[in-house]
Amino acid sequence: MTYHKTTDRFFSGLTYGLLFLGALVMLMPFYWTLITSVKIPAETITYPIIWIPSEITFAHFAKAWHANFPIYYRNSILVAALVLTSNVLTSALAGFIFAKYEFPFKNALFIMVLMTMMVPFAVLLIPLYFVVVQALHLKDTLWAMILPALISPFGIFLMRQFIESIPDELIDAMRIDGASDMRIFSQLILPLCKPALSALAIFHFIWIWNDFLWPLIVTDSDKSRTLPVGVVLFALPRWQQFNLVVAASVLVLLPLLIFYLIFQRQFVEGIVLTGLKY
Amino acid sequence: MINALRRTDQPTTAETTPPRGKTRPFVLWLIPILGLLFVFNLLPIFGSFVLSFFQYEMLQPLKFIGLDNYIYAFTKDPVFLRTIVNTLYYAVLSVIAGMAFSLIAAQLIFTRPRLQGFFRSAYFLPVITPMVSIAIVWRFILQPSRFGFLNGILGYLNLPPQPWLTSSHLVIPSLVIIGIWSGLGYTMVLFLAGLSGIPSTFYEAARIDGANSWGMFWKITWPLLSPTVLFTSVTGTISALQIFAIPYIMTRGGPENASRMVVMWIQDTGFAQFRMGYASAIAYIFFVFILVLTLIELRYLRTQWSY
Amino acid sequence: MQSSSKLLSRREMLKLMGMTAGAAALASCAGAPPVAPAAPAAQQEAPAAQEPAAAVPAAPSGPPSDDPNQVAFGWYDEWHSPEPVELLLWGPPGDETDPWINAMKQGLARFGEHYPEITTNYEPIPWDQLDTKVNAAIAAKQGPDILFEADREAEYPRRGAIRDIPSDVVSPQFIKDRKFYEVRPLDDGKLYWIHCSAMGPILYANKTILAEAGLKPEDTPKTWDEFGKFCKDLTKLDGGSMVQAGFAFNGYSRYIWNDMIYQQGAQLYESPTKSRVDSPESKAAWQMLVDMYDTYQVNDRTFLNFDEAIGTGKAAFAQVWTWFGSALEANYPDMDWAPVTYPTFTGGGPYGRFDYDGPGWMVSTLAEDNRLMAAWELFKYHAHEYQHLVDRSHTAGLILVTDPRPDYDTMFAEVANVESPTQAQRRAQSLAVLAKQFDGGMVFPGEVAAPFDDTWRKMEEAILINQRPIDEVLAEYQKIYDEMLANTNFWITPEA
Repeated sequence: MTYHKTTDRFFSGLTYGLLFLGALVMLMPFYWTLITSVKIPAETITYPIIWIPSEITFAHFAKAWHANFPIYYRNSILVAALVLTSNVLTSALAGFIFAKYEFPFKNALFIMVLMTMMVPFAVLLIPLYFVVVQALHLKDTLWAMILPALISPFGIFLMRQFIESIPDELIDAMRIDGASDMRIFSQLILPLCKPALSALAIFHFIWIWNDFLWPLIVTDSDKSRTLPVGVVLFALPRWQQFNLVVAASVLVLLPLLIFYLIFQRQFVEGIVLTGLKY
Repeated sequence: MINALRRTDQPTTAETTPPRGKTRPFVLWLIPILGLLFVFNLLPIFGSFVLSFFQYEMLQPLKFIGLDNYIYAFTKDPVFLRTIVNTLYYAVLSVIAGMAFSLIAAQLIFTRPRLQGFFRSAYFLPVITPMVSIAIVWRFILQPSRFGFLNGILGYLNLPPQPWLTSSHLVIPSLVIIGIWSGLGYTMVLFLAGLSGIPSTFYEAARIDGANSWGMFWKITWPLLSPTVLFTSVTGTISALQIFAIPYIMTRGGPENASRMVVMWIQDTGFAQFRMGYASAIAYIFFVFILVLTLIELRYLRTQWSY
Repeated sequence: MQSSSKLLSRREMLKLMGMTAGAAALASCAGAPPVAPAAPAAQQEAPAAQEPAAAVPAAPSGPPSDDPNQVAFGWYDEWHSPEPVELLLWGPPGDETDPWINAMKQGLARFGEHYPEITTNYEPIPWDQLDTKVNAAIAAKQGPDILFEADREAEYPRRGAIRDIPSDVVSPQFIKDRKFYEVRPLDDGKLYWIHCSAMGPILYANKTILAEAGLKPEDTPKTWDEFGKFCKDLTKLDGGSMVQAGFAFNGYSRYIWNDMIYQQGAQLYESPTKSRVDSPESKAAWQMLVDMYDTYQVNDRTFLNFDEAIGTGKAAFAQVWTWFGSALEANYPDMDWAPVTYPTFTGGGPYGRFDYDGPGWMVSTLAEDNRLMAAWELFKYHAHEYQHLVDRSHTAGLILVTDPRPDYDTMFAEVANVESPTQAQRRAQSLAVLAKQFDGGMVFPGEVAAPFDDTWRKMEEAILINQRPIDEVLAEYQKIYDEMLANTNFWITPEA
């Protein structure tokens, strides 16, 4: 019995030791980023590492913020907000129709959705550029980033799977009460799908907030640059100074960090849901 | 994703349920939705396919050249095959190592209820960190001199500094380290959910039978986690193969072509060299490559669990 | 293209400017004179626009100052648009702490005052993305009216991205008289750039590090071998790894390699379709760089890049082109540096490669109608405004080669012995060093197009980082380089 307890305590200690070590590894880059962004240049490139700066400066932030960051933020938020709203609504609507209605070419259309879901973005890149820029003249506007992302094939697929599991009886009951299709959708389906939709929203938020290749190609000016493109523009001119670049990346990171700390639970649940409801 | 592939060769559930009368007008809502999807997804997919049979350089007329682009990619373009190898190497390493680490982390966290919230948050934090911040910050962390942060830490262990991003041998492993760091939390959360879905009675029964934790892991946990493993490995591979932003910002494909990835090469041939037709062709080869790889992965992993 | 190299002294260079300008004028007379479609309209409308300008006190006209050099430079017939015009201009990124960016923006501001009806929107484009962006803009037929000369534009004429300069925008006589350098990159013989200034590489010395070792910038040896030994004492190791480099060149070696070829009296190009990448001189150049790591041990393959190293006081020397002065001022304003003459294999000239540059703008093929007219006005304004030519050149470390030009002898004498110079004085000191190197002879092998720079970088990575055998790499890259020369129809230089 005592043997069992000691090994148990030993393993428990070992587990926590490993977990703490892991957490240290995961958090270390954040610590480094934060201290580097407030260090004076003389203490930045040093050996051994200076863990606690002797002097703290916010000058790097002042200089980094100067570089049109507020506009980049606004653009990123606008794009994300519109895309997410549309993704959530259209995915639920199309998912509902595919799950609960009969119509001609249903299977063919659904296969089309699946197909677009599986094609990597790199395949679309060039023709999409011609559609958005030459046919629609949307170069260097936020619409160039919003329109192609309005519909999410993955979202339609996910919602169809989810809505299929909602019993037909609930729908039929509402229909007998004289509810229109739109009312069934807005008052029954949407509320029931809330967890799946918030999962979808989070999934797409991470994706759209990070998107780099497409905005890089379709934006030319600060009026339409999103944060990732803007910060790279700022970070990679002629031999930019170290602390400044890091401070700029903190500015990109910070709002997301706060957002995450507030909505932590939803984030994690959302991922579990998208991951398991495939 | 997985079901998607499975379902294409099976009747869908919708077909097995009795039809509810005629098509209702509500279905017309699909028109704008699928219309947008058609314009911004399907049309470009076909466009790219058509373009891949043409030579198309800027300000010069389209010229039909049949399969020449495809032939060129496999026979004459030394960079393209290199990017395929690099990308595959990166994907395999990052998916396998990433899964192993996240499974270990999930298992450790799961068995120790105290501080679960803290660990989960800490491990998950890099997932929400913007890719661009990751690339910028890690470029400095992996700086190859003694002043690089990681090399500074190696210094405490009396290890020599490593040329992380400037060595052709280390550059992809370095990218893998970043990939694991930034993706571990995501997979771990999925595994945690998978673990919590396993009834504890299974373990109790096994314990009575005298199984140790190692045996229980392989006999109970691993098989019951198989859907999660399948999902994470397939989606993980697909997204790892499409890696772009991090090497684009950190290494620009160097040294030589050691870290040039397929999507970077598509972007380069298409938008820097302006060989749009050729870029479309390699994009299509890449698509087929992903598809085949996914199917192989599905088949292999399924046979593993077909008990 | 018969002679393999062209070494220039400063005097010869200035002479040459006149000559090439003359030859070019002849060439343009022989061929069909290039005329932009909108240009005749400019001539017709010019007087019409100027007459009401006299009545309505709107647009000022005539040269912006009565500075004698400006008067000598002369002015041009202005065209003022009857309605407001907005121009989109793509420029380099950076903020006002960079004197060069500052000079450019002030030049644009003065243009704006002179042409109140024209608004210029300056959009910064990252260096790395410029090619992609320009290509994408041309394909989409939507983008900038004016492009900045970023030193990677040699491919633009072939791709139809920029317009040639019509003779009635800037007259051949003016170009000849003012000794601008003309660039006719394609076999259409059209003029795509006129350059007013020249730049080259020098050594940047960290005075603080030298002083710690009891040394002064003047003590720097003149040959590579002595320089290597000299730097050894300025190199510091800690536990076997480098913490201070005597000579930091990581990330810039390809340009030193290029200079070293010319230092040996050789050329990189044998003909428009044949390079000399795989030549004894090229090999010797790479070998010297390898020796800096392995024999002299004054730098390490894993050490900081040249700019970070010298900027943060972790290197005694760096070799960079003279634009670096303004980059140091913007990013590392506290660093105390001095310009030093570039070492060579023999201790004397020739010193390396130089490049023509400025006034800075190219008119894109996307500019049309009023915007095209306005874009050419900007082009003319900055080609004629003496203050712009001087500011734009000096802040970027360029020597003005036009006539008239600043009294460089006096200017250099004034700053020669200043111990703690201001930033502007320091820039003048670098120009003095550069001018001396010009006297010793430097080579202009032509513009470097972006794909070629990429190839240099890969070669650098192959030899210096991957440490592959030099012979093998050179043989491989000779092939790649020549294939590229053949495919791109790449222009080298009229006199190479």
